[in-house]
Amino acid sequence: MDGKGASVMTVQTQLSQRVFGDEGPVLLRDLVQPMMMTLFFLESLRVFIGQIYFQNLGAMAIGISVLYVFLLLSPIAVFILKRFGSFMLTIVTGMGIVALRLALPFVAGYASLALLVAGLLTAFYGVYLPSTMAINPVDYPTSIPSRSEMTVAGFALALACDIMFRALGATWDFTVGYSGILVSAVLSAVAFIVLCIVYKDNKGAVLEDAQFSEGMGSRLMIVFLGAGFGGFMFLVTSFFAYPSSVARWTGTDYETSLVMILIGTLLYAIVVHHPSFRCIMKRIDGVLVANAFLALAAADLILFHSPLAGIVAGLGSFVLLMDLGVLWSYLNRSGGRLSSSGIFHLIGMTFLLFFTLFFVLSFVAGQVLPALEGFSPYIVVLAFSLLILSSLLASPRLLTQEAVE
Amino acid sequence: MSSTNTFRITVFLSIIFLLGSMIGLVQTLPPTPDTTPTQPLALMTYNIYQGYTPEGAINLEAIRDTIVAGNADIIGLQECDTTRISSMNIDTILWLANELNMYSYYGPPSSEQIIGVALLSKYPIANATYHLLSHEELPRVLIEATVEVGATQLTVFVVHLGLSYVDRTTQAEEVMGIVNAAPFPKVLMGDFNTQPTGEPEPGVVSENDTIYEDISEHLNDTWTAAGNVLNPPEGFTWPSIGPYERIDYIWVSPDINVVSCWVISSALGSDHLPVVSTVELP
Repeated sequence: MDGKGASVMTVQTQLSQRVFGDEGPVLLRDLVQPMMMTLFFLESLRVFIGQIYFQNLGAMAIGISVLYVFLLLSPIAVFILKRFGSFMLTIVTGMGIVALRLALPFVAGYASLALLVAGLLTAFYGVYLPSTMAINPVDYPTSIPSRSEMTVAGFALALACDIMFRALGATWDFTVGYSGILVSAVLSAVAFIVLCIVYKDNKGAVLEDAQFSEGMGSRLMIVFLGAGFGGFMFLVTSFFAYPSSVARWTGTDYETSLVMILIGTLLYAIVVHHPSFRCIMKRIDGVLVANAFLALAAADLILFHSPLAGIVAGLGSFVLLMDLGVLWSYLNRSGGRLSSSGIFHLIGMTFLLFFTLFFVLSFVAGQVLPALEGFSPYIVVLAFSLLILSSLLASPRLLTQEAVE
Repeated sequence: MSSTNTFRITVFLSIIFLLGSMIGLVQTLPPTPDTTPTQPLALMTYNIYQGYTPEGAINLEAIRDTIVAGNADIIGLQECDTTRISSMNIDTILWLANELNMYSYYGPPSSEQIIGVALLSKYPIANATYHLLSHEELPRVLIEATVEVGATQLTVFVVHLGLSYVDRTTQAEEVMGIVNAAPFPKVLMGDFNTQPTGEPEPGVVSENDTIYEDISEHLNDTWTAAGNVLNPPEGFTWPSIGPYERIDYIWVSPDINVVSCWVISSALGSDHLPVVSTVELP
């Protein structure tokens, strides 16, 4: 990689480098940009699923708008668009996300438009995510966490930012409504500037698919780990990004859940910078112990609903992010190809779609599909199981690859 | 620990998010409303349609404004979602309680997989619990709470009965078993999905039920007790635009004096209209 990388490296001083030092390009490209995009995705997904639900089941009839759910499967588009390269796809879809996020509060009062804008934003993120995870920079510093770990830190910061917005609005994200137009404009402007700098600094400084040989990953493995990623996304977007949901689900208090989930989430973003923690993440015994705890957290969430549920959820959110780090690290080391990343995220989004639909419908099963009544704990168990198993499966292979390198 | 710029920025952002969240948390700390009893006491029942307007917009500001306009002290809410992404993960009850500076109770925990009912109150809620009701279709719940209105312990029930004949009649029977066992004075309010005449809603093939008559044997319908006729158009509560059914009720025990009762016909935050009753406690 280094030989090829040197030939395409730009010698000019990068803008982000001048502002933030040597790590400037990494900081914006691998931390701030994923943070902003993930934040916008989390916000739009709520509007998107909410509108699909309302316009169909809420109105007691299945309509054409239910077809919008397929926008969640947008990672499939990377197979058609891969000739543009992962970097260009990242920038273009990132710009699309920013534009749609800017529009979101303006259409809050118009259900059909809100569905369309939120759906498209979700779809753009579905292309953005596999594309950005397939980017391979030529000059990545070795003193800081790997790209995939840094992207997970960005994901964690996005979750924390979303929790903050919702805490400020007493669980209602005011930034996607009329009252959030100004905040939305500022957020979109920041994201736009970041994308512009990332584009200027990185064009020609990333390796594209053609410059890679296939790595260690098999397609079957990628598919299975993608299912684990779907489990992760479901658990996050139904519970671990929402302290109020954990509190209402378990009958415990909101304040404890909020503080503990926030601490667990931010702690990951901070400690991932520590080399010792990164070593633990690559050790099978470290991942095993962490996931054994996650299994206990799952049992508490599903069965026991203990008074400590908020604390358990906070620690669980830390392990969830750790597992995401393992999965994305594996993906990155499996060759970093756009097609692998596309498969991984397509499978992940498919599982997210089905888990979410079944979970939401299980509340109204008696009216929709009686077989689904009481089904939601099983969906949560399945999501936890897929994530834990995939993380445990990926972890020893990461270690092997590390030894080879 | 690394002292790189990425680390510093991460810590900086973490502190911002932590502080911002703490500010939000302070806003949602338990309320401190003025609990001095006022007479008459205003009661409201309102089905809030899982947080949406009939047009599909999030309706919480409209719901809040309606409650403020009704000057309600104790509010029973039905179709409340507090957990699912389908309601944008908004905890509707936490938000409303925070905005209205009121005490709240929501039941059951969402792990029961029921779209719950809730109670908001200007007065402290001393005890609260929920009762799961029998069902063939959607699962339903009755919440029971003791509200301390000055020295008076008012027992308040909130319910949303099922749509089918079997569900709503069976559930009404269970509800009255629990309500009749509770001490006076007591209030039962909610969406009963039945008309005072017992007829099913237009278009639904079902036998007539006797739920209204059965409840009336034990409790007073505040609508008629306030001097209104049984089933006039101005009493219709569903749908909110062009209503043609009276299915939302506030019932009180005979020891409570009903002063007035009306439907807020201008409320457009939900597919139901709210009912407000002013009463004097014994």
